[in-house]
Amino acid sequence: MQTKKIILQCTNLCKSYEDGENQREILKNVNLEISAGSICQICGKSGSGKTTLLNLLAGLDCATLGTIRFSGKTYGTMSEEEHAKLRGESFGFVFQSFHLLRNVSVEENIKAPAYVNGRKVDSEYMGYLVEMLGLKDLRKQMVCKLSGGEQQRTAIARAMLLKPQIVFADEPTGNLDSANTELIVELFRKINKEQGTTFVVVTHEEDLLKPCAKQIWIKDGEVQLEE
Amino acid sequence: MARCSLKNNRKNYKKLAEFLFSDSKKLVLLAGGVLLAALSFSLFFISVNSTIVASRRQTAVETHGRFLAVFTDIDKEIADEIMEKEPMFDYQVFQVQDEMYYGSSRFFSGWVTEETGKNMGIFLKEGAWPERENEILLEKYLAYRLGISEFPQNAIFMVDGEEREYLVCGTIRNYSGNLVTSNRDLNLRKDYPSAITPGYRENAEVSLLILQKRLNLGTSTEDMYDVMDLRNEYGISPYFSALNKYMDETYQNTIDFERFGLVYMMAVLLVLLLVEAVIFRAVVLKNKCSERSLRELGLTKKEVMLAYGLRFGKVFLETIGFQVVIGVLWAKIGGYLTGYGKLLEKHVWYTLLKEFAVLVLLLLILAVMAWDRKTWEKTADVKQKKNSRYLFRKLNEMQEAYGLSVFDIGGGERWEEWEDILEGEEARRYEPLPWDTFEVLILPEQQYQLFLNENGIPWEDSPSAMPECIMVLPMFAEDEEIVGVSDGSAITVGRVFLQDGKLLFEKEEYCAWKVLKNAKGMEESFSARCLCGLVFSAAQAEKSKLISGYSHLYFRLRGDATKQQQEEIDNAIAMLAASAQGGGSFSTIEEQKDDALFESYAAFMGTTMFVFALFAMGAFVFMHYYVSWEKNKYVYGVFRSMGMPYRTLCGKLFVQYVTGIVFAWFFACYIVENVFGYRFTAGQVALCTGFLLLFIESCYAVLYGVYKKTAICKMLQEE
Repeated sequence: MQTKKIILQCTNLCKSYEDGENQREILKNVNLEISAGSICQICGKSGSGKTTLLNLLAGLDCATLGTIRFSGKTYGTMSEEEHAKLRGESFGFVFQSFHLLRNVSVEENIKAPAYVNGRKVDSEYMGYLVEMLGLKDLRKQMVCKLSGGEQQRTAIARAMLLKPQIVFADEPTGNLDSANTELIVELFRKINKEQGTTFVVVTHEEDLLKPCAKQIWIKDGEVQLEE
Repeated sequence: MARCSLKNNRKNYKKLAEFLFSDSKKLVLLAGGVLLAALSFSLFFISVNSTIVASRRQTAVETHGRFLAVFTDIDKEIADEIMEKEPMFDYQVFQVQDEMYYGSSRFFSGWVTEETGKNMGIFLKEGAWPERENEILLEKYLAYRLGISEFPQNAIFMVDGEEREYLVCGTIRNYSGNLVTSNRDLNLRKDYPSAITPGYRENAEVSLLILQKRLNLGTSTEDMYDVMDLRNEYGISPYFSALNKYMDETYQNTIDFERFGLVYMMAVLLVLLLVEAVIFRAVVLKNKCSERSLRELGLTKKEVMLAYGLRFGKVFLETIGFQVVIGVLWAKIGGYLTGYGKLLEKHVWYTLLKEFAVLVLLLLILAVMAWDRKTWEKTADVKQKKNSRYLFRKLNEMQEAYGLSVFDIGGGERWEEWEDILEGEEARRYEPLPWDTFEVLILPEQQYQLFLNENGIPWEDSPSAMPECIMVLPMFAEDEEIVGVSDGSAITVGRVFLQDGKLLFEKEEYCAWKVLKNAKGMEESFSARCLCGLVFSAAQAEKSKLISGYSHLYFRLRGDATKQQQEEIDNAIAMLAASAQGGGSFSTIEEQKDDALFESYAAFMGTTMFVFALFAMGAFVFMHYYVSWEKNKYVYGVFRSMGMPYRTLCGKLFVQYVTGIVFAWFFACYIVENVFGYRFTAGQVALCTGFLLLFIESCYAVLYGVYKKTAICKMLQEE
């Protein structure tokens, strides 16, 4: 059996906040490994620390203790510019509240990562994404006029534009109805299968991505179960 | 459950405001603090500014009197007619009565009441105003010249050829210079008295003093034109007061300061309102979560804004209350400390009122601007004022010269009577020139040589006993032959004068060495109406019997002259001026003091404005950055999540702000040039732009450090 390459790994990861005079521990000694091309689902109840874990893994926040390595690079040793470069070249993000630029068209939103990173837009690939995500007729629409499902598909297209190695998704279906939820999940699977993109998805719905490569359960900041 | 209406419930609004401001107490304090600081700063500054301006004007009026003009020696009937005809002025009368002699010194006595004297600039210096028939009051320097130094003291004067004993009961300040702007011929006329006696003569001519109903230096020029109309109508030549002098030097200089005070206040308060608006925006942004929660609970946007308004209104009113307290304290303490007393107190109240008026006005403008964008466009359309004076333009022109007007030659106003004296052939030999079209200029040797050089005339020593001069005939064309006058011609100048009640004619021959159309380099020395001018060197002028002195004497002090030397010369000049009736001298010491005061005041204003501008700009940059960050941090977070480094983000923001501020700075330069008429030099613009960039960069360096640690997930959180 062929062993898959570990793309993301964290060791003894801790995160705490100051709450007055006390320290509030959000994550306690989290250790996990995520294989390249897999879909990893992080589950847990509200306040369990799953979003904090995702933020740390994606480099959107700094850990109090522990190390995170992505493709052999350790976050702690990287400068802010190197982190930014990593995010621009290798990461994609999908959030519960979409985080789109509101008064901008769908097309411009999708192209935004290319503008930020000074890269040329691959029109053919963008056409493919738009087609696949069902946004072809909405390209010139302002995102504020779109439905939740359409906005989330736009966010996915944006996350995928620069062909990232890994996509971090925080409650991507949290604001969507069941039909749209199903559609988004199918899209994740399709992209994962066609492009080998790794997905790290935070959700409170344990069956959302089942069956998937890896399911991590978090409770009170600790990893309870890995399947 | 029905929602509790807020409309009639103040407690609910109060509670609501507390919710909204729970997280912004420091910002609210900052809003109040900035408001108080700016208002107090403006109050201190403008009240002192107005007080100095008012004090200078008051001093000028007390020094020079407050009249516009004098019609001397006119019939009482004419005086009554003028007073009736032109009721826009106030009138007072005085009389110039007898020609008096003390030894060989000649002067005039007259009747003036103490009240009228104050309006003329005749102020009692020592002793008492004369009341009894044999009492007399002398000009200070006249008394000095006559050797009378103790009062009361008996002295014998010659009046109408008879000896008469008077009791000199005191002195008045020398006011000779106050009456005249032109000193021509004054020594030959009875224009004003140098000695005051108490007797009013019913059947004698009177002199009419013309005053503004209410002293207004701003309209004095126009009022003088009205006096000129009276002159034309009655054919009487008025003597104008020294209002001209202080209108030019005191009023025009101080009006710049007065206007500057108002502009400064408006600028300070406008910047203040901008800073307040930014703080308000910061508060609203900081509390948007509370606001959202309250709106989810059912509040309308209007109710939320009203709660904000009430809270800020409360801060505003509290600050105004503090400001009034500060104003009262400043009026009392400042009046005592600065020595301006009641004057400062008065101006503190004026300034407070002006501040509130300007504040309300600016608030209204902002409200209208916010309400109607079209109105904003209209308001922002700054109209260019052409030919406006720029501020402080005279400050660096330190005058070193003493200007002393003595008297010059000329036919005098009796020139029309020359034919009465000369008859037949003798009369036909002369061409009369109106007295005010013939002018004489006497130059010191060095200046005379310069004048010759400029006009291409070679310098030659002349052995001639006849005084030589350069003749200037501006009204004649260069190619026109002037009969009898060419280079080297002899010209005869005569004058008619009054001596012992008899009209006499006196003449003298000069050699017109060169005849010029224009006196290059001396154009300004001749008036526009000059038909014939003679330019003499000092040495040549001494040969003349008719020329009794320089038209103007200039004493230029060396740069290293001590203050004591200046004072000695100042006194000597004042004595000389007093000895020649009608002479006026302007003290360079006073002028230097004025200039120094205004220069340091201008520097003070410039420095305070600079400090305030830095403070305002710093506050604006910090607060605006904060607002911008709070408002857009979600978008910035999205960009950063896409791979934009923090440094790049800050760089882009810096460029964005700097572009705006630098554009505003260049726009301000444009406004300053077109409204105030002052053009910054390229060096000044470059220096200010460099400093501006450095300052903003420093602010951003601080802000860069403050926001650097913000995690991207935090930036994305609030949305």
